[in-house]
Amino acid sequence: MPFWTLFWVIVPPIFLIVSAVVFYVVTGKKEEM
Amino acid sequence: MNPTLMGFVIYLVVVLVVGLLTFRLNRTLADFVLAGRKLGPWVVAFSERASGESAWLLIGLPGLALVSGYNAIWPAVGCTTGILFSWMFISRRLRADSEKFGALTLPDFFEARYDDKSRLLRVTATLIIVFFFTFYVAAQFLAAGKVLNVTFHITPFWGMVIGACIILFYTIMGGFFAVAWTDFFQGCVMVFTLVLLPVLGITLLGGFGSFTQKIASHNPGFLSVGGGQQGWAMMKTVLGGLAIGLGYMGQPHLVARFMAIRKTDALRQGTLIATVWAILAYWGAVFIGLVGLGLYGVGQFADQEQIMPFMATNLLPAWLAGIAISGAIAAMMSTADSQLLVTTSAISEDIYHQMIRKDASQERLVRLSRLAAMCVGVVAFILALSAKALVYDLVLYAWAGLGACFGPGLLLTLWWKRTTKQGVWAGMIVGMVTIIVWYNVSILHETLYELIPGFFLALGAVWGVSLITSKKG
Repeated sequence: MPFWTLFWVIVPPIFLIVSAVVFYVVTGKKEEM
Repeated sequence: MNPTLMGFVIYLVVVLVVGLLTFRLNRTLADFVLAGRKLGPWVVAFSERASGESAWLLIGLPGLALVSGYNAIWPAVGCTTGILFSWMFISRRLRADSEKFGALTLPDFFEARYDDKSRLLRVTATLIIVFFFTFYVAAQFLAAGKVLNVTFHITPFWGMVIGACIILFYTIMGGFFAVAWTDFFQGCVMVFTLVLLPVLGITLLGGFGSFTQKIASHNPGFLSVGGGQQGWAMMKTVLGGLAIGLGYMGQPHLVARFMAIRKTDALRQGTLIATVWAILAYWGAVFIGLVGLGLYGVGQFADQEQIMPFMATNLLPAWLAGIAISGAIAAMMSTADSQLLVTTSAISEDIYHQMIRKDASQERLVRLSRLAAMCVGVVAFILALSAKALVYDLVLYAWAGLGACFGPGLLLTLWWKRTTKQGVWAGMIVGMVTIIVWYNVSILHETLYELIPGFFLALGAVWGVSLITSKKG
């Protein structure tokens, strides 16, 4: 399997989920303040 | 009774019961259109996802992966990024602003936000919605014909008739309460189907290693995300796939979900839920096509969009296949009903209530909404009968139209204080003209997906005209 295929199959989902979690935490803290 | 048919019928009965139970909850137009802004994060996230993803995801994207291999990953990457962006940067501000201005629909929001007494924004937005949604709904009827044809061997025509009748029946009965709750249920069935089929297929092929070898044996280019293409041909595929994600923020039936949530705070949880759902569903859809490639090879299907129902009926026990097929029907129903609802609310609320008869009773408006749903459904059905395009292409056209007309205006309205109503209107016109011209001039359409020029030209128009008119103001 070519490297770039593996990269685009695996990295975007991880990146998006991490972004969504960061968004959840940061916006939660803002609302607490 | 055939077990596949039984699974399918049970699914339809559950959907109709949910529709009938929530029918009683619709007392006012706000209930019919936005469920009285009473929905929780799980229902809103699942219903936004279920109505956002239509037969395009269950039927079209696996079909693309079947004929182009891993190259089909680009629409998945573009769409999931667009979904997250929309939830992060559009949902919260739109929910808060739409309640502040008492807006029920997107045209309603634009008019209230800019205090547009001329009605130009409302009328233009409504016409755009009615025009593009009719194509979108037609694509769902077309897909219903294909799925029921492969599964139950009935003709595509009668498949379309059955699909259209079911969708119309429960949109007319329930309104947004029914649509949102049935969407929640359908979102569950869709993601179940999209995860189950590829996992089962890869297992049958003897694991990931032999699945990869099988694909390579048909054509090594299928393993490449460039699809074995070079130069502009590759860039066109990559950009075209990624750009689909630009369309999310301009879809009236999806942003209506953001307006319907109970509290702005619930959108935080909704963002997480929707992102996870989207990743499972999109990667699942691409892998359905790839597994189909491994199992059946290239050129086995007269119509590439038959792969998903074909795989379900071949790999699964009949009763489970019935549920999986229901997943595809769920995708069509959940999108078409939401779009019918937005179209009908555009007619009943944006035109009739606001412009023709301000003192119309709530009962009269709800009745008119139902009548409008019926009329739009009939036109979409006639369009589906004469359609020559694939579901994939027909949906992308309507998607581009709505994304380019409303996305730039909504984004700048929420994030740039200098945006003016003239700017938003210019964006709608530039977006619409660009999409229609680009799609119909074959040399342009073959060079690049129309949403890219449509979105950026419309963005430029909103920005440029707003700069000029805000200075004057």
